[in-house]
Amino acid sequence: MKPVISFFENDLYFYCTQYTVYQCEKKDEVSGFLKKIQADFHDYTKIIKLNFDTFHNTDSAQQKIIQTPLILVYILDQYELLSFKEIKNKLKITEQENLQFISLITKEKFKSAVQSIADDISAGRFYQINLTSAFKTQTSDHFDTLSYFVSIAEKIHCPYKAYLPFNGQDILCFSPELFLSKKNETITTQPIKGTLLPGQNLTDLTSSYKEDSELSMIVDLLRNDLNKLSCETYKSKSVVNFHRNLMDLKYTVHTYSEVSIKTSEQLPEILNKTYPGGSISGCPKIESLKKIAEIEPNSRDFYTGSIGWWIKDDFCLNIAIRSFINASNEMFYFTGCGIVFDSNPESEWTEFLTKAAFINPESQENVSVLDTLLFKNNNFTFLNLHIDRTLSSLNFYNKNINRTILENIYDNIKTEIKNNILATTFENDLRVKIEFPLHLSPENYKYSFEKIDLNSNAIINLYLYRPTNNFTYSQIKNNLRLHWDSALNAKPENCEDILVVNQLGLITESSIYSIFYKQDGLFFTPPLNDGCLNGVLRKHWLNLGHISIDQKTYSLSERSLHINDINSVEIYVGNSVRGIKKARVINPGFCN
Amino acid sequence: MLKTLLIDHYDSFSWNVKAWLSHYFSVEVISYDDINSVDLKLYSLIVLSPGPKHPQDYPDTITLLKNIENSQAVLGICLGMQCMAFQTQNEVCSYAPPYHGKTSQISLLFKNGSQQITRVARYHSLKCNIDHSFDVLAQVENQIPMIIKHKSKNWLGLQFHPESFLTDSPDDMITYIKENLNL
Repeated sequence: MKPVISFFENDLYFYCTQYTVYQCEKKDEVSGFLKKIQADFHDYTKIIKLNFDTFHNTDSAQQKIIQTPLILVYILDQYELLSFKEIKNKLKITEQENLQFISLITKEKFKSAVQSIADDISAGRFYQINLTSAFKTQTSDHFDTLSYFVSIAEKIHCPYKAYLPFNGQDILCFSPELFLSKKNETITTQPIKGTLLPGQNLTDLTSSYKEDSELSMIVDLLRNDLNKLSCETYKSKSVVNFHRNLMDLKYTVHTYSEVSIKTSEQLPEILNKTYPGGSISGCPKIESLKKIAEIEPNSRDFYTGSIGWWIKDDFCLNIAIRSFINASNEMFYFTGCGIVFDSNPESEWTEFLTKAAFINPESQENVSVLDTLLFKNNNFTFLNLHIDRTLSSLNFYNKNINRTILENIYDNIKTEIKNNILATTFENDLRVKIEFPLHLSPENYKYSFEKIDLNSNAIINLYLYRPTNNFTYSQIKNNLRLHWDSALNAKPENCEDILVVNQLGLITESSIYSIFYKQDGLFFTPPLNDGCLNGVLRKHWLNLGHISIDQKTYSLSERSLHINDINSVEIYVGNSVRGIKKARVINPGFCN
Repeated sequence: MLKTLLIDHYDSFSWNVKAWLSHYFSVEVISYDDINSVDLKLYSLIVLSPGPKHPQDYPDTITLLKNIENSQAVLGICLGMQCMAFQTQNEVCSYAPPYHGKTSQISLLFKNGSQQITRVARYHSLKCNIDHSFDVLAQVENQIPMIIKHKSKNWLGLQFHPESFLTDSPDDMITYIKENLNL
């Protein structure tokens, strides 16, 4: 079993590989579920995860980009309490590929959401709201979430980190924020508001009237939520223990406060009265939760919920922010900002990106989905497969578009090129490049074309290349290709292209071609999850189940190729523009 | 202790109001949804909580104020005060920029003649333009009323948040409220 890892206290972490998981999926069963866990497993050490909307109803119109049960409870059988260093030594850490996270919200949409919140604030609807969104990337089959968890944990300070595997979905949480801890009768919360932005001095944060009032509002909100708890025995009310202390997380600095109260209530009732946390919802809370469901297109699921431990009557739960989830070769990272009346949409966007800076995200402004096609005899070749691929690439980044619209776009380009050719003397085949910038709607595509000479039958010389790090394997054809530029610098003059080998020693692709290889009379191509682009020619032949070379037909299927086997196969390269070509590996002696 | 009813307008500070008042009064909380199911005569003091949006979004509170006996003590906080102003046809309009989680100083005049300058927390996007029915007992910059008292009914309205941790001297505030509502 993959381990469950969760913060405990004094820089010690639960590490457990023997556990049983209980889950609750329905809102009307939440209270009963928690009471039953409390009764049946009172003395056990439990790690618990609760979704943001566990205790309230959200708008069903929100899209579920991820889906985990409302509550997960891991009953730990045998576990160790380890320092993070000891955990690192226990795990087999491997170097991971570089991930290209792309914002699912455009700057324009984010800024208009900020404006819409500000308008409602003017109308007296609420004082403050936490606006959140996600970044998305692809991961390959050999992507190791545990190694990634350790690598991020070493980059940033995050006292409330946790790693929770569940049914092939791994949650990686790097929270700096305490939601609630209960020790004996005392409940404590430490809300965070206020972030040091790039280029600011510490005094800009500590003297900011805006940041002060943002945190003050949340402190009053948390006081309120703790005051809901029964304290007949103690006759106490919530107390602010400190206000506006500094929290240094290395990548940024926050201000935070502490509120506590004494109560005789237990976890199920306490959460029912205080959930979700004030700093990640808004104030007043009920109205804020309605607005969040109105303006955030995706449901938050576990993000801004809580993760932590529960032993007997004590517990400690974080606010699950700065978090990742990896499922089915897709990985999401979530973050957000507090929006108040005097929030400047531009600087909130900067804050949003700052909180994600340690994952090196690309905002959509820099990213386009690409397609390159061959224009031959007045038509595009493999047109339907090109449209399919563009459609699925746009969908991956939540740019949902009707296929008919995309067909019309390709048709318009075709017509324009035809008119252009008549006006000039082009007779050759053309290579057409179409770009769909992600921050605009797909109708704002751009295209260009150039003459291409396809008559060369020369063998392509490939230089076998194993990136050390920072290389990105992408199944989606996009314009993020800086890593290719530096990789191509590594090849000698006599080679046209490089052949990239992944961390596991598996052959992936060249900078412009898919790889095909002949072994024992059969043809194979490496699976996409080894780190290959979803090439159209590759797709075309895989759909047919065979490949035609020099008037001969061979069966074709997906199979990984290890560099140790490279001398026993014949290598070919191909793409939908240039067709298939024989290739030769120049440094086949290279191995790990 | 005096029996007090706190009507909660779906606010996130109502339990702070309750915790603050509970040192001096015996407080019951009901939701705005249940406003028509209680017998107001059982209580010495009715408190209208703060809350989101505009008084016109709470017609049952406006009706309650319309029908309540003149001698019934009512304390309105923030939206609660705006409801009092709105029910008496004083204007309640937007106030830009709003004051949220920020403090101002106001002056409280006690029965014994002493005057106290105190810091109070403000959370409001709307303001009351009082031109009849009420005396304005305290105000801040540009004549924004912070405390209003009805000329003939036993009503006191506070635009600020006495229950906030940013507000100074909560005990003195209770004395001030008791004096003005004859409790």
